[in-house]
Amino acid sequence: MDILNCSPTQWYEKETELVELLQNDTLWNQIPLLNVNELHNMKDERLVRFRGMIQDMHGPEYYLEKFEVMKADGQQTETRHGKYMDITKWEANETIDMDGPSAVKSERQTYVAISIPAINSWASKLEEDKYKLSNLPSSSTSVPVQMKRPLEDMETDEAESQVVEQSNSENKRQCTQIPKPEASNVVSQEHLLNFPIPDSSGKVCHLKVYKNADLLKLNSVWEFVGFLSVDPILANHDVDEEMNDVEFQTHNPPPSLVPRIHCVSFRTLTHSNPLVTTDKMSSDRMKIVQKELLIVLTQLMLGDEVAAEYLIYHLISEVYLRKDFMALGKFSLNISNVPKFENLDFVQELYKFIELLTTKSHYLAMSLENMNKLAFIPKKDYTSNRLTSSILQMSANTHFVLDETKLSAGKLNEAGINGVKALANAIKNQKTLYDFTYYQIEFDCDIPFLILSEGKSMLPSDVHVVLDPDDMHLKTFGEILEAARHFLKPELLNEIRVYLTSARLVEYEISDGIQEMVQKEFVNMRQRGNVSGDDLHNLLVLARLVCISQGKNTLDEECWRKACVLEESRKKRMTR
Amino acid sequence: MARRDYDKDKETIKTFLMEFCTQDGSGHKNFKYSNQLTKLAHREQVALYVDLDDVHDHDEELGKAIINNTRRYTNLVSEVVFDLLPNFVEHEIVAKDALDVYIEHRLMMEQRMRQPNEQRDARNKFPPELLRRYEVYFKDMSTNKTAPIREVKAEHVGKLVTVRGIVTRCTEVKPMMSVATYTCDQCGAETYQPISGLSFMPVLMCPSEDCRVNKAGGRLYLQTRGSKFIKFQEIKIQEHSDQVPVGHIPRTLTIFCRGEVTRQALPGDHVAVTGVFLPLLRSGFRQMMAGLLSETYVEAHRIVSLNKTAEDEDSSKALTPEELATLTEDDFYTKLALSLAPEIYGHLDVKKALLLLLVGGVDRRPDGMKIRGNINICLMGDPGVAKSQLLGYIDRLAPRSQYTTGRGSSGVGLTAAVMKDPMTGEMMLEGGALVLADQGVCCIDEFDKMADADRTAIHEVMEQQTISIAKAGIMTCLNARVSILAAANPAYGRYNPKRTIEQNIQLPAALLSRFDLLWLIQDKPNRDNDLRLAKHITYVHQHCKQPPTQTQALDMSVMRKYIALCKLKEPSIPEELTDYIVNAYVELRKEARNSRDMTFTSARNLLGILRLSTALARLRLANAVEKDDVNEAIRLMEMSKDSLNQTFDSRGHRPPNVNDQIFAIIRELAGDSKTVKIQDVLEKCVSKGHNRDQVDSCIEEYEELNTHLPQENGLSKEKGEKADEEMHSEPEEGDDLEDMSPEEFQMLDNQLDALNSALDDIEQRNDDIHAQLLVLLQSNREIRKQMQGANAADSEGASDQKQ
Repeated sequence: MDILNCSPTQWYEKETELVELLQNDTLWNQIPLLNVNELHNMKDERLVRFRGMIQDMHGPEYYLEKFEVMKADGQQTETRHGKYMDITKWEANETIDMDGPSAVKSERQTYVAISIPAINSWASKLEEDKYKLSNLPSSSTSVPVQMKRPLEDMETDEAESQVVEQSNSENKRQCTQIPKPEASNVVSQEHLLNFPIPDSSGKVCHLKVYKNADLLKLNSVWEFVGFLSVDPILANHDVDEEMNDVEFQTHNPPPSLVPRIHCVSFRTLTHSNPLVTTDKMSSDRMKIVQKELLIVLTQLMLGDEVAAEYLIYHLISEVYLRKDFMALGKFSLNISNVPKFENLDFVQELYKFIELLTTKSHYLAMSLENMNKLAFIPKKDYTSNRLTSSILQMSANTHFVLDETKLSAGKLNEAGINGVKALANAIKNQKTLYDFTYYQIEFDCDIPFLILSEGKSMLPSDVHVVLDPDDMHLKTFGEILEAARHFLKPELLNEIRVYLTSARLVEYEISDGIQEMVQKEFVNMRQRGNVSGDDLHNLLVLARLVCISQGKNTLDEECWRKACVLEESRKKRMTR
Repeated sequence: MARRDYDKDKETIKTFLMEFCTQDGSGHKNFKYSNQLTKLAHREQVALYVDLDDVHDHDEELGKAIINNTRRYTNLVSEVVFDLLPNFVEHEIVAKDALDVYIEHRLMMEQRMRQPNEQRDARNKFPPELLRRYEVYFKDMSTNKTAPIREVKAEHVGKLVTVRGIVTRCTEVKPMMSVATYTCDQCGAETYQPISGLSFMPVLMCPSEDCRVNKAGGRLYLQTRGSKFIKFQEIKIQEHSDQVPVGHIPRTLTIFCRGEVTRQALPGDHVAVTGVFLPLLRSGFRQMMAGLLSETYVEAHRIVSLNKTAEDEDSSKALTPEELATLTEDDFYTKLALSLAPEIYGHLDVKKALLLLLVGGVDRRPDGMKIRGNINICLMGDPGVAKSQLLGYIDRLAPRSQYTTGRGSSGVGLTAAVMKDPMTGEMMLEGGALVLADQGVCCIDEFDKMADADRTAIHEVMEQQTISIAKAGIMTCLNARVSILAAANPAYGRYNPKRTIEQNIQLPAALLSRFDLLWLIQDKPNRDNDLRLAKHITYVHQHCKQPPTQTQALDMSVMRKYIALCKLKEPSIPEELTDYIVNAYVELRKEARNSRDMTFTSARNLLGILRLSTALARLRLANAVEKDDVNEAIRLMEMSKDSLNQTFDSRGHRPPNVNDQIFAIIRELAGDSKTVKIQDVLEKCVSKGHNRDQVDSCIEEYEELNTHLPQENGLSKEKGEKADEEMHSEPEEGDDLEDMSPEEFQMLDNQLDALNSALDDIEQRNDDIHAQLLVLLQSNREIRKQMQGANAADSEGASDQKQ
């Protein structure tokens, strides 16, 4: 059976069989990916794939899974189903019996999914090359696509859309009754899209989830497969009644802007790196790539190898254990003593490279204006009944680069203070308190923060490295940048990208022997000087990162020693 | 399911309403519903509340049927009441509003115009809704639990549910048409249309006999005056934060309120709503569009505003047998203590103390005297020893608690503030953290960073457990029965063993003595402990989970339940233990004197021991304190003292006595200058917890040594001759007190407090007089100025004349 052209009705009839079939990866990957394709090239009521992060959760909906249709002429009745679709079609001479004996009422959840925020352009470009539909049939011969053009195209495409609409007589009648979608002017497009950071190529979908909806947590990233539903009827409301109801507008946006997907299956995405395939990078290869990366970063860190090492560890860190207050594995890094150049901005130049290397990253200049104006904490908006997104609503492993060199003396207003507090809380506990007006709810996050500052940052950090720039490098920073760009040939660049993601996926453990050694060392350290339990935590986290950065999956003495040495040299600098 | 026989049910309801009665204490029968019906009949009451508990008692089956099909039974009860009402009319009913008059007129017209038994079109008949002036509501059975909004699902449609939530949005109360009345422009007949939904399709053609027969085609016009409107309000509620599973967004639910149920809640209120869960039917185009989708709402029957205490109900739910089994295992005391903040390693004794704080001792009120049972604890320690985490954990665990930091709260923020309402200009009392934490725990972090003036606000709370307010014409006494858990950093960043406690914490003795237990948590290297800590941490990293301890940490909710259970016990101290306790205390005092204790051993400590031992007895769910409880209480107290004292023992450092301390204060005050005002010295010393007499005796002593020369209004001081002589000043309460019984100690303690407050009072009065004097002086000056002005004018006038 051709799964790509399966209709919701067919799916409903053979559900278990088809779900099994979908487990096949090749088949799964054949389903057109909505993220990289234009909506008007997709077919209504056919399966599509969508990668996205859960941004909001609306209330449950009750729909008729089965109902009876009675023909007006005879006493003939027929049972139909309403699963996986928004619109049920019936003829004018038919009546629906909602309370008939075979009618079944069911519940489904509506979630808002947005394309993964802060994904870097190289990653999305690769996805596009891989999954963009080619050799599409020209629009005149295509199966009528039941959707409206995006608002800005409305005027020019008027004639064409008329043609499209005429092909479906029933739709046409309804469409002509309704004025053109002025109704949607009540709320702006940005309001409907609701991205944490502006994203021109981003897409938003309303997901209708029928089972296992509890698995989907806020801010988690998934790949969904489901039936697309873009019927323009969905955009038509009773104008006089709902015209000004912001809530209704928010929950029923025009499907051309926000398509509905009736989910049949979903998978978790452990990473969003298109380069990483199922076969793993060998640990020998990882060691080599790590050396190459260290060379580049040492140059970028102006000859400071310690800082470069820490930067690598920062780039592969993630929270791997959570228990009450503790979030183990977080490794937010503060690099201070950042130099100033006349014609170059060190931080921005550095970020250009981070952007090239990591899958997801976001740069935030901590200027007074930004701090005072930007919303950091997502807030529940009760008038439109949705969660208004903000920059701290990020999926796991999104690298956040905070540029504190942009901060100038001045007054932080209340919003700014709350912003700083929210950032500090996110760094310290990897938690964000979402604002629900009457109370706050804590959501876990996993955002590695890199803070670049001149002095020690005003924000807390797990590791503080004082940059020790080399005079030679300082003078030739411009050339270094050139050289680094040259050095990072596409093949090497791709390998580094794979390396950074693979290192995170390394399974890691500590053997009993090493554990004992670490314990002894710690006791000795305590005797010698002022170290606390937190220091041991940090050392173990660092040792883990040293270990996985080399592709090893058990901690050995070498890595432990290296971690100790690194910490010592870092601490020495701080006191100097 | 077999269809129920509704006619039979109607009969049952009828007998229920007529005959249901409860018997009060004196054997009088109280006909709960007939009384209500009488009131309804006389239009003194609008809503009839039917308690399902009563229905259940009357007929079990009927109760269940009502819960499962509430809407139908609302109508049934309505009908029954309609039939019954005329029987309950005892006297003439006074028409209350226009609608009553209307109904009366209509009924009269009907009697005059129509022949009896004449058949009329249904729509021209008065619909019962128009004539009914009452509303029927059900009250859910008390055994039914409130459901989280998340749990209200498709299977609840049509049933009576009770949900809990916080109101996020309320519309204004608007009139909603429940019966539309039309008149015909041809025949003048009235037509009625009952409306149950949110929208209706107006009737256009007159359905009356006349018009139909004559084919007159009369048009109908809506009559606002004749129609019946009811109040309508739409409310949205949202889940409580504790009902939301991790990683999910709170759900919302729409509530429709009609009639008497409106205006019961405001945004931000915590409410429990009983109502019928119903699908909202859409008509026409919308329905088609939505693919037979229905939104849902709850038709409210009862809205109750909850305060915080009602929320605590959850925690007092009975423990399951398995939970009880784990709790009654051996050594549950240690187990419970270890379950406190399991992520924080070690500090078992501190955790034990905190556990006792949560349970609390027993309050005593002999003869109007009030002795608090709440235990106050102060944690001190080096930075980074997880004090704040402990506080945070207790804050989360305690069913009622407030968390504040010393720096973030002023005395007003802790106690209560009198605020002027900006709208009405009325004075309002707004409770601070201590008031809000009444019967709970108030955690104050960074206690040392608090301003002295603010800290004094706590004195009253810590011993008297009340807050007295006399401000802006409001005089009142608020309850603040709180346990205070404070955390403080040492004054010099780290605990300096070379200095006294007071210097280290910089808290006055008056305040410190009010803490039952003072813990100093120090971060000192210790081979065994370090190894254990290292093992713990490496284990976490190795296995990605907490190491298995001998005792598995208990769940927070189990802890809460158990603590709630403990609090129900009121253990007493048996007679035979009194001597034992007294002896133990005397021993403690003796020891303290001999070893030159750094801490304060006073009568308050005796009370502390009593509190701790009653708390321990509570923890055992026992009704009487045992010897072991007392021993453990004394052990804890000694441990807490040891944590403070151990640092000094090794050095053999002489603890400074009161005089030395006062001298130190004076020296500090003097700085480089050679004279100090006695006034200043007194002020400073009092704030540090010394009294006037002590200061005087100190000055006298040093006078004898010729270091100070009191002048008329000051004190000059000769430096350098610090007398090294030991001067023993007796502790505040002499040795002879040892023979006193604890009761006498309590009395004495109380008297001292009373004396203190009297002194405060006098001081207050002094200040007042001072203020009055200032005012007088001011007015005096003004008068003088005026006189001068007048003089000047006179002289000017004189000079004018001269010219």
